[in-house]
Parts: sequence; structure tokens; C-alpha cells
Amino acid sequence: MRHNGSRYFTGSRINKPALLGLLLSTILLPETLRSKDPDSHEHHDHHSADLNETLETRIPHAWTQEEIDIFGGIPILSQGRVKPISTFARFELVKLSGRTSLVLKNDMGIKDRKLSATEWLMDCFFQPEIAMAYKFIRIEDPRIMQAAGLPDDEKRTHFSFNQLVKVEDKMRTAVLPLLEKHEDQRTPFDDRMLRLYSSYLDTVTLFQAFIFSQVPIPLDEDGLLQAILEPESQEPVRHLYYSRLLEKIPELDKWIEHAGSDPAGFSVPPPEGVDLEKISPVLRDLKSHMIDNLKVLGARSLVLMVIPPSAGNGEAEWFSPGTMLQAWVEDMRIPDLHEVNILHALGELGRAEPGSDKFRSALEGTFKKIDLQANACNQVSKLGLERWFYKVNFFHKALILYLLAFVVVALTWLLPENNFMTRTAWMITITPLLISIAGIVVRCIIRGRPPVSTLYETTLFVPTVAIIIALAAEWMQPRKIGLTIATLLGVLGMLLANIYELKDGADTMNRLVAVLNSNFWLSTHVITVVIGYSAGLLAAAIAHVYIFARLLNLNHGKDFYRTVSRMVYGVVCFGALFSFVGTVLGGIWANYSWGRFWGWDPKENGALLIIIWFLIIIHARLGGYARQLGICMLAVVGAIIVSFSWWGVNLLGVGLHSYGFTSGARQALNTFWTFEGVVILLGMICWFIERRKTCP
Amino acid sequence: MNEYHIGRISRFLLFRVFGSYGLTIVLLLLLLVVVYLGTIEQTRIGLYDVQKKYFESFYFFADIPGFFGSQPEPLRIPLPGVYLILLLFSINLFIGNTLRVPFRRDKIGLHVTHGGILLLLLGGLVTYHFADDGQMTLAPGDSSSRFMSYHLWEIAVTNRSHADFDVEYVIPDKYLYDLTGNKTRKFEHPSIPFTLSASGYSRNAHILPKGPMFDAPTQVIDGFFLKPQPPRNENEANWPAVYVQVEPAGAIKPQTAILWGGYGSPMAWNGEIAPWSIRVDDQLWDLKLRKKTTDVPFIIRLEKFTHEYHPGTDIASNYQSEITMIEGGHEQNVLIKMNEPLRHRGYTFFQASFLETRPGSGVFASTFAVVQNPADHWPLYACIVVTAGMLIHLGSKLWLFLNRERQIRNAA
Repeated sequence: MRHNGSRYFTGSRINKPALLGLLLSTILLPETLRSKDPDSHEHHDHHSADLNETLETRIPHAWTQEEIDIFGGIPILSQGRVKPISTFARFELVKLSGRTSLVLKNDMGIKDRKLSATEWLMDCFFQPEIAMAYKFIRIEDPRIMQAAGLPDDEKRTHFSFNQLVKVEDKMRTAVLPLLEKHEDQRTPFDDRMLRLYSSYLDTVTLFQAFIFSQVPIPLDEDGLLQAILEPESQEPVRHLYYSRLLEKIPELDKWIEHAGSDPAGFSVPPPEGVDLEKISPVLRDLKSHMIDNLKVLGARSLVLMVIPPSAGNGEAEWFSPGTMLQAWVEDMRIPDLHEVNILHALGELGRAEPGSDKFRSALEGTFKKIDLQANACNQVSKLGLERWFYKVNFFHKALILYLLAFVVVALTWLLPENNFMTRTAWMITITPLLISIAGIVVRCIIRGRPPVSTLYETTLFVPTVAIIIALAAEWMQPRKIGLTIATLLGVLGMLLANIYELKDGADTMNRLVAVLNSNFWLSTHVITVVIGYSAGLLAAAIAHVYIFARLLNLNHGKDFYRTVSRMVYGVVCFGALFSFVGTVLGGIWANYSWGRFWGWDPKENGALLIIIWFLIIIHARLGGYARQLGICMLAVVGAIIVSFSWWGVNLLGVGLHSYGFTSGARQALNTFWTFEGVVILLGMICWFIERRKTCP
Repeated sequence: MNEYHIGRISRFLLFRVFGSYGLTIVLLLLLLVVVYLGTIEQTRIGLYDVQKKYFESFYFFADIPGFFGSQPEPLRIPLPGVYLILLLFSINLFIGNTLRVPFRRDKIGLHVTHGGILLLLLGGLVTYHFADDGQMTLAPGDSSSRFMSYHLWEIAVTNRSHADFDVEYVIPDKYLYDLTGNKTRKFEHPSIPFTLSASGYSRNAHILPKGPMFDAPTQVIDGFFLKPQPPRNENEANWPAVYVQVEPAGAIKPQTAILWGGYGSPMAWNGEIAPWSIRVDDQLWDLKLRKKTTDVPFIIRLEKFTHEYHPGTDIASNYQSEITMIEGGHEQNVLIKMNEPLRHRGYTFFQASFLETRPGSGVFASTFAVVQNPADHWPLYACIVVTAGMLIHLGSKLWLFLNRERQIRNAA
């Protein structure tokens, strides 16, 4: 059964029941139920017809700041870590779209506006019918668009769920053979195709997060079940929601067990006019129907892991409503009172009309209940700090200030004698440095770990340290070279961190494997080795100044060149110390953690290459093989080696870290290496020219 | 050539060659190239082979494919292996430091630094030649006093005729490597009543039944033959095999068999390979090809293994083993976990990994990495020495530099 998504949208009014029907029939219950029971097809159409009568159409709601704040603070377990749902939203959106917010173009009769990740997730959860038209699923490769049958005529890189639904069959046909292939044999194209399909499925799970609360279970038309389950209700009850129905499970079981045998066995006598013989099969049908449904629902609502474990019993397992209902209905696990409460609150929230008072109170109630329980089991102490961290957006602020600082420092070059300008330049360079240090510190507090334990964190730490060394060099040799380079490195470093976060598309505070559990050797090792990277890159940056200045004959003072090349040499010595100590500390850590000091692993070798190179520079100078220009050219080679060790070795595992990220990184690295190669070449040209001048 | 000339030549060699900065730079550049090539090569062949070829060798041939355009023959460049480079580097470092760096107070930092680096290199040499490592896997309740090498194999010949003990004789696999083609090697021992000949060794092999429709490439024994396989990148996944022939003294007919290192049973982790049992002179002998096995002078019994995951993921957050160490009737309880190994009598037991004893059983066996290394702590000492030396040297240089700058500025 294929649906045309646009059919469900008429202007800005949306036919929610019809959409739910679409979800149910095309996505929610695809193979599992259909293959099991061919009749269920009609059965679910019946569902949507039933829904049509019970739910009314409505207008999309724009979230108020208060709603966003309450919702964003809900703790959720994702990728092994309890985090605020706002963080979860941020990285879900980054994963799917490569952005941290969503700009809505005037596609749907709604004005252009910017949605935060949290607002986007709220739309996915509570008004999926609207979010389905948002273009947030990124496809970068036009060949993928062609293969999936999507329009690739425009310069379009982002697609909506509605567009993808239309080509679902095509995607599936393309993906199925890829799953058979071994990981090593997949091409980058295959990986991107798989990536697209998994984005599609991820999106489906977001849209279905609350569907457990919205799927009604139809009751029999004769009112037999109503007489048992809702005896007080005066109105005829045609369906019940899961959360209500599940309260009746123990009673239902009792009825199923005893129906038709001995009416005297019930604690509650059967209502008058209820024929036990007749009701028995109805009851059994109901229960097996629920189990079948929940198998699917449970498997598909994994994303909403918001029900905290009980306090005190040491259990760390969080539940999603689907998995909890599933375990309950299959008699595997009886939920605690707090869990039932949260389940009810979530059910209310899922059914409430966004924007209504009921929704507001349901949202508040849900937050309070979850927060209370999460606090009781002591798992959310740093969530507030984490929300603040993302709200402040330290590294973005630092980026902008570094840019500003660069402009100011550039002005000081024009006004070299102006002390006021110089002082201002210092101030305005130190501000973003302090901000990024604060950001790193806050991250350390949130994670409870030393500052560098993932590749992402190196992108924050390496430039920050390089800037500190550059400023120290500036302090010793006030020639504004250190200051200029500091601001430039700040801009580049913060940009790199930003790009990495967006391209990687995963929570940057992820859990680490057991061997990285905090340890004195490990933390000192990583920090020192990374300081070595900083020094290598900084030495190269200063060397660029030397080479360009000399090539373009910018400065005629011999003293200038001597100072700059000394600076390069000084930073190289500093780097040699830290690289050596850091690398050996890594070996010591490995030796004390699993008994081998050195294993010729690519990352180890990369670190060794850096040390070797620093030693070559130092001894080449001592032996008189390289003087000023030579040292600077060697330092530029050092940047190539540092970048190989930092990023290059991670790319050696071909096909393992797929998803286009590596190809992008490889391209960036190649560009960088080519650029540095050209700089070295320019240095050589400079050397030849000057040699011809001096010895005619 | 008289003594004068010899003296001049040896001085020239000492100063201008072995102690020179030029040699330092050449060696460092070679090291850079070889380490780089060895790193890149790891994407193509496994780490174990890379180590053997690039890092533990005296020399090797680097293949640069596609050098001659479309021709398939790669360019072969002979290069020194890291072992040789580091040997020469140590000599260069020692001579250069002794000859060139004066023994003055302002050069103390340099002497200390270079001494520390020599210590580090020496530690590497000692580790390479004298350290032993392997793994021991225990299911809860199991105990053992031996660990198995990761990469080395041996033929174990066991005399099982004694009532309360076995006597083992082993043939290390280094005596088997070259036994390809028709090459055979005989092994004898005064206490063994037969001669053992080994031939047809293969580093990775399958044992296949000989069918009627094809010719076997190797000798067929009891309907089976050894089929060599290309070696796997992951060296631990290679199962070697070898033909052995037992010739008892006298006119008794020799017997032949294939010994295979591959495990037939799903309980592969505890190294139980069914041996080839033969009876010679009323003595029962077992022969098997197994991973090199080392005895430690105490017994380890696994009492309990626990592991935890980060909730909702399959990332292990912690795993640990409660063990009992038994030595001379004395028992001691020890907890081994990540980053907290057991050190005893020169052996170190690290918590390395774990595996389910049988799929779905829910019972987990714990694997320990076992290391015996006389130079265990040397890197730490070397690191402290080098750090101190560099801090002294670079620190004093920086201090002098800053002082001079200040003087210049004051003068101006």
C-alpha cells in the first residue's frame, strides 16, 4: 500500500487521524503483522476509520518558550548516558541533517522561521504530521538521490520524510542486497545508501515515539468487554488506550482463566447479562491482539527511554513506554507505582492537543514525575549544567570573538606604535581564550573526566593550548606574531571543532569503553601528547610567517628573521619534550593496563613519527644542516606529520568509519597537505633565489 | 697500513661516522620512513606480519607497487629494519653524546636526557628478547597454572605412562617454519624411545577428507590431507598444521599423522586439543600441536567474573575477576580488573577480555593477558630520567634566553 503524503495536507489544516492511519498501515506494522496475518491489512484500515470518528483535525502549534524549556529538561537515556532531552534533540538533528537547528522555508504555508533542535523534536513527537514535511534528512550525494528516485534537479541536499516515504520501496530494494555484503566490501556509495535508509528509519522511530499513547484498542461492538473493563461508564465505549487497558491486565487474566468454568471463583461477580461462555474468546482475542501490537510498538518505541529505574535496587535500566508495556503485557515484569504514574503521564501527554491547557499540564506533570524519580535514583545531578552549557554555546562565542580579535590584531599591524591598540588586542584575544577554557572545564565537570578523551575534545584542546603557547611566545618576544597566530588558530580551531561536531553527528559526551576508565597515566598521557600536537602545529604556523615574509621580502631587518626562526625552534623544543613524555606515558599506561609498552599500533606510530621529526629538526640545527629557513621548512613538514598522526591514522581503517565523514576528512587532509607542500616549495624557491643573489 | 693510519681511520670512523649528527639524521629519517611504511602496510597485511617484516628485522624489501607504470612488478627497495636502525642509533647516540657533549655543568641536562633514551632503547631490547606473554582463559571454578602464547606454537610430546604425573617435551615452532616442500627434520631425545620427523608445515591450513574425484596436493593419511591456506591478517586466526612421523627403534613400522592446531571443539578457548596418542614400548605417548604453553609457579582459580555495560548499550563499562591465587598450599583472594592487574613473582595478570563459554549459556569465561617482562618498569624510569633531563636543559636555555632579552631591552 503506497500513500501520497501530500494528500494529508490541505493548507495548514492537517488531518491527523488519516495520518495516523498512514503511519499504522505503511510503517508501523509493515512485515511483522502483515506477513503473519493477511487479514490484518483490512483490520488496520478499520483502525484509521475508527480514529477518524474519534479525533478531530487541528492547526499546527508553535511552541512557547516555557513549553520548550520544560520539555528540554526531561532526562532521557540515550547511547548509555542520561542527558537532557534537549541534548538528545540536538544530536538527533545533527545526525539526520548535519545542523543544530532547522530553518523552515516557506514550503507549507508557514512563514520562514528557525526551529531549535528541541522544537523540532517536539514537532516530531507531538505533531509528526507537520514534521513529516520538514526537510531535514540530509543526502549529500546526488547519485544517492538518483538511486532512491528522488529529484536531484535542484541544488537540494535535504529532504522531507514525506518525500522519502514515496520512494520507500525503491530505497528498500537498494538497501537489502547491501545488508548481505560484508562491511569490508561495501563501497562509500553503499555506506551512504545505508546511511540514508537508517536516517529514514530513525525518523520513523521519532515520529512513533508517542504512538503507544495514541493507538486505541477496539472493544467488541456488543459491549461485553465494556461491561467488564469500564462498568461505570454510561456512554458506550468503543476503544481503550493502552495505559488504561493495562491497569486491567491482572483482572483480565483472571477472567480469561476462569471464564466459562466457575462464576463463583470471581472476587467480583460477573455483571448481569454477561455470558461467560461468550466472553471467553473475546477476552482471549483482546489479549493476543494487545501482545501482537505491543511487540511491534515496543520494538519501535525504543527511542523514548525516559522512565528511570527504581531507586535503591541498583538497577540501571531505563525503559521506554513501549518496552515497559511489552514486558508488562507479556507478564515478564510488573512495573512499579512510579513507573505506572510516568506511563500514564506520558500517555496523557501523547494524546493532549499541543497548545492546549491540557497539554501544558500534562507536560509539566510528566517532567515533574520523571525528574523526581531520576533524582531519586541519583542520575541527573549534572543535567542542569549540561543544558546551560549548550545554551551558552561557549565555542561558538569563542569563534566569533577570535574573528573579532583577528581584525583588531590586524589593525595593530597598521598602527605598530599605538600601545592602546596593542593592549586592546591582548584583551580581546584573551577573552575568547578564557571562554573556550571555561567551556572545556564545564565539559570536564559534566563528564567527570579529564579534558581530552575523544577525538572531538582534541579539536577543542589542541588549538586552545597552541594559543596559550603562542601568547607566551608573544609575551617573550612582543612582535605581534604570536598574537596574530593565536587569533588565527583560534578561528581555525573553533571552526574545526564545529565542523567535526556536525559531520560526526554523535553526542560528543558519549560513554567510553572500560579500558578508558579514568586513570592517572591515561589522562596525563593524552593531555601531554596533545600538547605536543599543539606545539607542532604552532611551530608550523610561525614558520609560515617566516617563509612568506622572506619570500615577499616584507621585512628587511635581519633581527626579525632571527627572532621568528628562534620562536619556531623554541616551540619545536617545547613540542619535543611534550611529545616524547606524552608518547612514553601512553606506553606506560598500556604497559600497566594490559602489559605491553609498545605495539606498533598506527596511533602509536603516528606519535613516534612526530617525536622523530622534532628530533630531526633539533639535531639538524645542532649539526648545522639547517639554519633559519631550513628549520622553518622542516617545521612545516612537521605540520603534515602532526596532521597525519592526529587525523590521518584514523582514516587508515578503510570503510570502518564510513558515512561520508571520512571521505570529507580525507579530502580536507589532502587539501591541507597539498597546501603545506606548496609552502615548502615556496621556501625552496626562496632559498634558491637568495643563494643566487649571495653567490653570483 | 701502519698504526698511524689505523688510528686515523678508526678516529675518522668514530668521529665522522658513528658519532656524527649526519648519521643521527640519516637514521632518524630512515626510522621515519620505515615506521610510516609499516603503519600504512597495516591496512594490507596483519599487524603480526608487519612487525616481523618492518620492526623486528635487520632489513627488508619495501615494495612500491605501480612504480613501473602498468607493469605488475613492484619496485623493490632494500631498507633497514627498525631493529637494525635502533641498534645503530643507540651506538650513534652513545658515541655522539660521549664525544661531542662536554662533561660540563651546563650540559648535565643533555647527558641525562640521552642516558634516559638509551635506557628506554635498552628496555626495548630486553623486552624483545627476554619477555614472554600470552593469555589464560578460565571459566568460573576452573583453575590453571599455565598460559598460552598468542602467536607461537609448539609440538608437545607427552609421556603419559606415569601414574601421577606427565612428562612433556616440546619442539618450538621456529624449528618447523622452514619445513615446506619435501624438507624433513628429525628430532630425538635420550628419554624418548622414538625419532620424530616433521615435514610439510603450513602456517595456516585446513584438514580435508580426500574425495574420490580429486588428487590431494599433500600426503593423505587415513583419508585426510593437509590443505595450506593463505595466512589471515589476524595472526591469531591462523591454524598451523604439520605432518609427523614416529619411528620407534628396531624394526617396528613407522606411523604417520597430521597434527593440526585448529580447535575441533566449541570450548576452543581453553586450548583443549585432542592429541594423537600412540603406544611405543608399552608407554603411552601423546603428540599435539598447540600454542606455546608456559607454566607459572602458582595456580590461579577463577571464583567469579562480573561485567557491566553502560545502560542500554553493549559498551562494557567495567569487568572484573575475583580469583584465588594458590601457591604451596597457601590461598589468597585477589580482585583483577581493568587497569588493576595482579603482579606476582615477575608475572603480571591483566583483565583482558571475556567470552561466553557456550552461546546462550550466560556463563562467562574471563581472559587474562599474562606478561613476564624483566624490563617491565624500565620505560617509567626512562621517562622520568628523560623528562628531568629535558626540563633541566630546555629550562636553563629558556632562562638564559629570557635574561639576555631583558638585558638587551634594558640597554635599549
